Amino acid sequence: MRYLNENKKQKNKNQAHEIIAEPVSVNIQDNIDKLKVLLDNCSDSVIREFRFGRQKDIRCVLLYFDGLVDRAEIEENLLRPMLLELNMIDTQTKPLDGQNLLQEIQDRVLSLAELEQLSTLQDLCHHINSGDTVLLIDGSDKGLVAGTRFWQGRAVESPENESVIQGPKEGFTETLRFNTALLRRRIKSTRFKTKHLVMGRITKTDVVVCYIESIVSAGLVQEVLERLSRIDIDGVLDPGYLEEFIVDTRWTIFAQAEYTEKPDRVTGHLLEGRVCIMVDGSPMAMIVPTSFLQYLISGEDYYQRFIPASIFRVLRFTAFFIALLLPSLYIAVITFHHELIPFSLYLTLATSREGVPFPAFIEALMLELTFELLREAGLRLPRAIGPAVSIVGALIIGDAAVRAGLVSTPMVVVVAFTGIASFVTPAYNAGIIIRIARFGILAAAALLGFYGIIIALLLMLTRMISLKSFGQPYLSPLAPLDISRLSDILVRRPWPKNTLRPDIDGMQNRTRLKHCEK
Amino acid sequence: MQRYLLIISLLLFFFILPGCGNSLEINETIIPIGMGLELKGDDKVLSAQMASAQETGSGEGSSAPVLVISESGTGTWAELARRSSLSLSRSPLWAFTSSVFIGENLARKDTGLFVDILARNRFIRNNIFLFLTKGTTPEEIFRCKVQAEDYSVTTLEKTITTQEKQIGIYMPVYASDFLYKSATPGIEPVLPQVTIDKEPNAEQIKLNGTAVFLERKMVGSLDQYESRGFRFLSPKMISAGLFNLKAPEGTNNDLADIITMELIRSEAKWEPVIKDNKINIQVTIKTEGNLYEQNNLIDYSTPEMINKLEREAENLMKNNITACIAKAQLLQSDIFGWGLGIKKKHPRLWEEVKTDWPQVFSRLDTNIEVDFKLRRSYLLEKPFKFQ
Repeated sequence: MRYLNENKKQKNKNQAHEIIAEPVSVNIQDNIDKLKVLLDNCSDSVIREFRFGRQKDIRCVLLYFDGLVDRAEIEENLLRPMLLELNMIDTQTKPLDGQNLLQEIQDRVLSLAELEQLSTLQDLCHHINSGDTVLLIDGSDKGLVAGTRFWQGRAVESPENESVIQGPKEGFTETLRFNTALLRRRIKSTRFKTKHLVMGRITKTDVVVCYIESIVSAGLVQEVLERLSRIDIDGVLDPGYLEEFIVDTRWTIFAQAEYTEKPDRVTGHLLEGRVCIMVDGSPMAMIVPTSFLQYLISGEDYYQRFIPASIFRVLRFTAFFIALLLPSLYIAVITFHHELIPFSLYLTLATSREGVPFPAFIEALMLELTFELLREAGLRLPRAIGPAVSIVGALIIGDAAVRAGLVSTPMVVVVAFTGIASFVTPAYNAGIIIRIARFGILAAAALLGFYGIIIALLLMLTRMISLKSFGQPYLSPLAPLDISRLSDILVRRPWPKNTLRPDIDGMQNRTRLKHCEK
Repeated sequence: MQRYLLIISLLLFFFILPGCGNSLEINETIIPIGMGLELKGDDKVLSAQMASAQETGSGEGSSAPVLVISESGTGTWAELARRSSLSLSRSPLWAFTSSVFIGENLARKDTGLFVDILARNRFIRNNIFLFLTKGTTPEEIFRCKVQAEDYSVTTLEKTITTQEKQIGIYMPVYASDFLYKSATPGIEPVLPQVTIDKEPNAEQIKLNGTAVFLERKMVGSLDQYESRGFRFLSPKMISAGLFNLKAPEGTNNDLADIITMELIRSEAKWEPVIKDNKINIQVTIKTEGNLYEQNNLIDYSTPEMINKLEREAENLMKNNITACIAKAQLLQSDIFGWGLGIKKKHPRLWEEVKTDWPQVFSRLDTNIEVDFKLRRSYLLEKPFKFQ
């Protein structure tokens, strides 16, 4: 019996597989039977049969998925005209059956903006799945697809992870169409292109590649599309799925795509000739190509006056080095290079280290790990117990561990300072690089002191220099050195001096500023 | 694959090459802040004042017990220092040593006994202070209780820099100065002297005089007036200090006839002038100063009085300088570097005199001109008036 059932299922599955490739049949009963097989066990599907026409009495069927459609619109603009107003068609002059009738309905009856005739079951199913409504009438070998997509989504909110003081606060949502609209609102130009792709064998996710045609290098767009087209995956839930497929080097800790939820930041990148990839169902936009220094730059810099912006940028670079190096420098100094410490500071350090049972390296490792744990725990915890974790963290790590003599106070200060500095990095995925690299450098410092730190940094630099992101060197404009671009990386160049866009290979138009008044 | 092997082996090389034996936890160390070198009979004595981590920190008025180590023997200084590990559980970080105290016995015997450790040892910095313990030993200085600081060594280091801004008598001498002057012909090194004042109820360490060296030996000392004269002759600009004058046109009351001048800046220039086959050193000093305090109530703000004050100040400076030169000539030690100046200006002459330079130096004629300018009187132009 079990086997029989399995067989039946198997058969059903095979049948569905065959059916979906078939064209729409002229006989509506045929179509209904096939669709019923396809939509078997889809409890949210709605198949509404009705008849219209006083004289002809033609069978029709309406198909959609409940929850994805605007039901009021279907009732008002689709069902109602079909049932009540079909008589307005002039039946005398034209013989109405089959294809003509469908065309006539599209042309004269339905008051919906998006209508399209499709002829395979596969296309029809895809549209139903996307929230459109399909109308089939007897005698026609085509189905009419009506755009009735509507579902409950998150409203446009300000993104939690990228808060700014000055500048636009809107963030992307999970609905791709809203997101492209947010971009289109900022770039009112037909040169702003949103190239549509469908990815995922099963999920059939909409993916959009955005760029500004007159700026971007054509080769870059070609390359992005080419790399995306190579992906054959069952589903895509976030641009993060795609990053590993399309980046140049997979085996590295260095992030090679930038993510943001802010349409203004994406617009800024598009204006600099980059390409943005967005995936339906995720508010994250992925931007390629990237360079490492770009991660340390906040979009907000460009909204502020250049002097404070430059100062804060320098501060951010400093924080980057603190976050990367401070624990390692501390370990190196107190275990190898004692003579670098001023005498009174040395006494303070030595006093607090007195009685601590672990070597400084183990101590640092323990505290760093604890900090990372607390940070990770803070992400996952429900809001309500979030504060509890920070209290536990502060009390246990900051106070009890020191009092118990397990760790020394300066080490707590160093780790806490490092932690604060690591939050300064605007891009989350760059922060991850720092967090990982920090441990490596720490180990090297514990082994060899400053010499070890230098080796670790050299290895890191070597790796970074060897990377490329869509042909753009990862450390540009530092390596290869480009002074003119560097002046907008280390500090923020004043807008009136910002006449050229950063150079990406093959860029079509580098003029950013015309007719600048002095 | 080969590429990866290469990278891995390179990495291993990086880490193996230097070895990692010299890591040292901070709480396994102890800091010698001052090192003392002295002779006792035929033995060398190396002593050190140690700062120990456990004792500092929580203030609460308790002064830290001072830890002093002392090793004597016939080995080298470095060996004596290492010998301390026989009784000391922690590794001393000699790089923290900020002063070296030379005992008088050692200095009078031969400076060649200790210059090597100052010049060669990688833990002895170039910019540490050098002192000479006069009438006492470094060890006694280290064991001496001090006020305001925990350690006598830090006290002396701070004293020698502070006194220069406050009263301006001595100048700090760094190890590099001492080595440079010892190794250069035509200039002799000096060292500030430290003594212990034995008062009835307490001992007090004090800067007291300047030791003068001649050819690897300490030969004598300058007292504080001569030391001040030495400072006035310093080739670099000096910019602080006080000195007393006898008030001109005074009231014949010794208690009241005192005026204190404050030095703003002073610069000494000198050059050897050769006349009739005799070397004459022409010293010109340009000084600016302020009237800092007067204890009689005479009005010195008139131009004539100001002029008199300036001449009086010039005389006083000249006296100090002459005394210093006389003492140096008596000791035959060219602590001013005049020989070096002659070598630069008149190299041929130097070739003639360099063999018996100390004798030539002791007979040099000098001509000192001081130009003192009174700049300010701190807003109180007229003297205080009782009414």
